[in-house]
Amino acid sequence: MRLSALLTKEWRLLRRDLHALAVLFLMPLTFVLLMAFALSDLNAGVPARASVVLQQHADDHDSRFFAAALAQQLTVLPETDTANISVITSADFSELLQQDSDTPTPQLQLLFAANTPPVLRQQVRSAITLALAQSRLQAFLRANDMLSDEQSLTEQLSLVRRQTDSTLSEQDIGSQGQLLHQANASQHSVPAWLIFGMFFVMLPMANTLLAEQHSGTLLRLKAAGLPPLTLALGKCLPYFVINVLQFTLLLAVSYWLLPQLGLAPLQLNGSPLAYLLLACSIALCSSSFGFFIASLVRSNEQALMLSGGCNIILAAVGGIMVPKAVMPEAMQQVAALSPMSWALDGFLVLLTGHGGIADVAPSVVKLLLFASVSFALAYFIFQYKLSRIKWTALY
Amino acid sequence: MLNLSAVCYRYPGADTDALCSINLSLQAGDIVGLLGPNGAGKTTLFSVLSGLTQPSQGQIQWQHKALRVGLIPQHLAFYGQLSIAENLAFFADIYQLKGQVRQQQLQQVIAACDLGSRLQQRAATLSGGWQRRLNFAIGILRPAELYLFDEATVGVDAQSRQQLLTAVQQLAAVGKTLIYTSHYLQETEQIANRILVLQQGALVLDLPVSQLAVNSRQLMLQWPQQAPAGWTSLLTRLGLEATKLAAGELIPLQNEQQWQQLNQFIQAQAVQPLLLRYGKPSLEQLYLHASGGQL
Repeated sequence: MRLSALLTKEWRLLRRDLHALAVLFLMPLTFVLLMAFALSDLNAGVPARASVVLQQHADDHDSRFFAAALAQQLTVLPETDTANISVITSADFSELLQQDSDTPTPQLQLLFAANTPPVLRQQVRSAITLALAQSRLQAFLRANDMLSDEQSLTEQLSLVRRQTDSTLSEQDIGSQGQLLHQANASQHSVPAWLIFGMFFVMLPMANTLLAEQHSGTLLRLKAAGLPPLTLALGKCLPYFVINVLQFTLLLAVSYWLLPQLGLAPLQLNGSPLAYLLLACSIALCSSSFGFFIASLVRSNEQALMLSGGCNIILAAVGGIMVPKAVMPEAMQQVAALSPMSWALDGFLVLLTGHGGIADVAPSVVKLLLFASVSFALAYFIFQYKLSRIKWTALY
Repeated sequence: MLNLSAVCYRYPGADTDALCSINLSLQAGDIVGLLGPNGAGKTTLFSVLSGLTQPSQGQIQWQHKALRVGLIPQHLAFYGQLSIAENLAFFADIYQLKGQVRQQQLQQVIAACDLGSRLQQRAATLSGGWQRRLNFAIGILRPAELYLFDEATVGVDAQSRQQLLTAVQQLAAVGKTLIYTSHYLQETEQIANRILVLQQGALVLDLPVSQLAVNSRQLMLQWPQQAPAGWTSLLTRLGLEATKLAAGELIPLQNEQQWQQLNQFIQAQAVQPLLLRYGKPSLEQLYLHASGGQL
């Protein structure tokens, strides 16, 4: 009865705390939607088309062909426009294109604005390399009368592309080794930010515990003989339920709302039981860690700093903000220590790999271990704090 | 009956005891007014009695298995975002009240603290006086043998205060033991049947209030500067001893003749005292006397 009263009380307090509700539901929802938009192209493997200014100092056939080949892959702006990327070809572009030397002279010059991201640079380099190869092939074919000058540039380019374009069959390998269609962008972006949102429970947990300490209600509860474990469970269980609700709500919104907004729909692949198991594990992990933070802090300012800081660090390290795949190896090893990383691994196995309970088991075990250690530490600190509660002095 | 035998408590790292050698026996139905200046040890004694702190030395013995304590702390210990009814229902659950007993107990405290008209109002939106009443109600909601009231009526209007004091007296009437601290000495004098004064962690006075009425009379006075010549020798001749207080001196008298002789001396002086009060000692005088003039 006492635990039930504590749970009902906590639920009522939460329901009436608009700030906490915003932190727990509105902020994660906003994150999921914003990041689904922001990462829709990147996660789909279709980077935004780069724009370049092409400055050519020759007007011969090879230069015109190169410009046409480049325009197939990049947006080529008029020379009068300003752009962060410039491609400059010299007057002897045609000779340089056909040079046969061990130490070749650069066939063109590439200028990048200093703040151009590496991904964009790579995209431009690849496009130019292909356009140069196509131009060299075109020159070879023309020299060997396999292309006629009577053919238009478009016809020539079309013929060359038939020789150079590749058709790839790209599929993903599922968790059971089955071949799957490539997962869409939402499958990658939604779980990361959903997990990030679930760890927001740290702040309201800390604030409600501090309010009870400062108002003296914790003193009343202790003096009424409530066991520390009942008090601890009374604090953790409501947030466990909140976490499961967050998980369900954010998945539902992603499933129904994303297609309405023109984004790739979230496909809930994999075993439903595995989702439940994973949701409960993440919820146990975040509510236990939240209880640990709540037990540590002594003021609302500390709660804000510590919960916010931990959330961001765990997310940054755990591959939520930056995919682990692009991290250096040493950093990837560090990432493997973050519970958010375990949760994300488990989630991706389901969403992109169509996995089952056995596939999420490694993540679940790590999350549950982390939850146990967090709760044990938090309970130890909480008991110490309770033991120090005096009539009016709270610490 | 609750017995404290040589109870001491020293805070970790402190040089001196916050409570030292407290010997006390409390009976069912006692309303004990606990007085003492700031830092005298009242809060520590409450902590020890409520079980929040274990004494460093000594024993607390209670005749039954477990001593249940109702707390009415000075700070407002309830949930502001819950209504009065929700707060009371929550603490009723925490106190494990069930069925008929729960209903009766809730009705009693709602009536005793006159909370009936605002049961659905959230506690945070109540005025200070109403919040104090809710704090009071939650404390007395718990069926307990001992109730500790710490400045329970601060900020409550006169009419409501009287109602709360009546509730306190009703608890004592049904055999509960109560310890009451308040800076309103008149209030303490009104309800307490026993006065304890703590000074630097020690119990310096333990007096039934009934003795206040029959005790010998006292003279309290304050000379403008120094006492006039002959005053000290008159006191010595009469066998009286003056206690220096911040606001003058306190002289306990044994009979009416002593007062007449002192009064004759005072009237004959060119410079009259700034303060002259003669009569039965009030609790305030007693308290000032016991605490060495400290408030």
